[in-house]
Formats: sequence, structure tokens, C-alpha cells
Amino acid sequence: MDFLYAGISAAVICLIGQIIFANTKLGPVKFFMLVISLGAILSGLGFMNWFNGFGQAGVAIMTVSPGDMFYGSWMVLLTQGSLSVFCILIPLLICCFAAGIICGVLGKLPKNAPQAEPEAKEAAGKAEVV
Amino acid sequence: MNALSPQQIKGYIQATIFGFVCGIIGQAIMKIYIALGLPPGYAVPLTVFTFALGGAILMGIGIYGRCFAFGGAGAMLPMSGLAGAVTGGIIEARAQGKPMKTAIWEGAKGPASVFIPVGLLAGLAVAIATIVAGIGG
Repeated sequence: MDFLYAGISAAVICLIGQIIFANTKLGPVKFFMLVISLGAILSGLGFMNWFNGFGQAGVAIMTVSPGDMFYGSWMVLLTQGSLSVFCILIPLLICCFAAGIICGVLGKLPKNAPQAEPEAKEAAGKAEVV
Repeated sequence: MNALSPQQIKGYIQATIFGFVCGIIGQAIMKIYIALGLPPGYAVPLTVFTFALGGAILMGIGIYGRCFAFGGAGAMLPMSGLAGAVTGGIIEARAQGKPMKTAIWEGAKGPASVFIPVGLLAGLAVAIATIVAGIGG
């Protein structure tokens, strides 16, 4: 049943995201800004607490959940004076972006890229020589 | 709002399907980590990181691009979409023949550069608002 709830909550988030993305002319950057702000606002209203309990990982893997985590971190910092949650959150996000950058550096280039072909051939040629 | 075109309805259904599958995969990954003996406080961040890593790797081998075409915003919303956007930006810049440093910069300055600052600001603003209003705690 957990799996069903996770799937449903993730599907609802994606559907709302698609409705926002299709009906407004936001680029990806502004879209992510909107999503993370929405996460923080919903968290402040107390909705994300319930939603996290309902959807578990289905909500946690979405980009709204960092908004919720940032809000929680600030609340812990402002009310208890502890930086502990930031110490998990910021490295986590940096790791996610670092994974993206490393895979971008190592990843293969698309086949249909015209300028990429000579490079790929050169690389293949070098590999053959070696 | 205008009446929905079939194209839009198709987009909505595809985003929903993609989100559903992502949610189930995420839950399965978390269950695996918990079964391995990690406490939930570590299993959830690790699940998020695994998802981002998975998205970056899939983008690196050229599969997640098709997911973007299929799921639209549904593919962008999971953490895999965010990491995939960084990877995709770098690969695109590399495919245009730009040097590696420029390519990394072009990939990183997209969604990644705004995500942490905006999250920090939004979280701070909402936290202060709830403390002032006396809702949160």
C-alpha cells in the first residue's frame, strides 16, 4: 500500500507541475524557482508534513521536498539555534549537482550532433592506435 | 481557460504516468535502504541522492532525454530531472564543440545555480513569516 500512496502522491505532483508548465510560459530555471518556493510555502502552511507522511519517498524525491527541508532547517536554526539540518541538506544538494556535472563530463555525446562527430572519430582513432 | 486540446491531455496523462512510476521506484529504493539497516533519517536523503545520480547517469547515456520528451514537467520535477538538466546542459555545450570548462559552466549556471539560493531565501522568508504569525514551530 505504501507503494501505491507513493506513486499517487508523485503522480499528483507531476500532474500539477505539468499543468503549471503547460499553461504558463516559464523556462526551466523559473519553473524550478517556483517549485522550490511552493515547497517552502506549503511546508510553512503545514501541508508538507502530512504529505510527507502520506507519500513518503514519492514526495521526498520531488524537487518540492528541498523547499520543505530548507524551511525545516531554518525553523530549527531560528528556534533552537542548531545548524544540524543544514549540515545534511546542503551537502546533499551539492552531491546531487556534482553527480550531474560528473555525468555530464563523462557522458557520451548525442549521435546527431554535427560538430561532435569529428571529435568522436578522433577519439575512436586514438583508441584504436592505443 | 480554453478547452483542453488532445495534445495537452496526452501531456498531462504522460506526466502523471511518469510521476507514478518515479514514486514507486523511489519508494522501492527507500525500502531497500531501510532493509539494509539504515535509519529513515539517512535512508530518505540517500534515496534523494540515488535518484539524482540515477537521473544524471541516464542522461549521460542518453536515455533521460527521451524521458523529458515523454514526461515533460513530470520528468523535470523529480530530483533526477534536476540532475539530468545539469548533465544535459553540459553534454549539449560539449556537443557544440565548446571547451570543457565553458561546458561545465554552462551546465551549472542553469537550474543548479538558482536552486540552493532560492531555496534558502524562500525557506527563510516562510520560516520568519510562520514565526511572526505564530503558526509553525
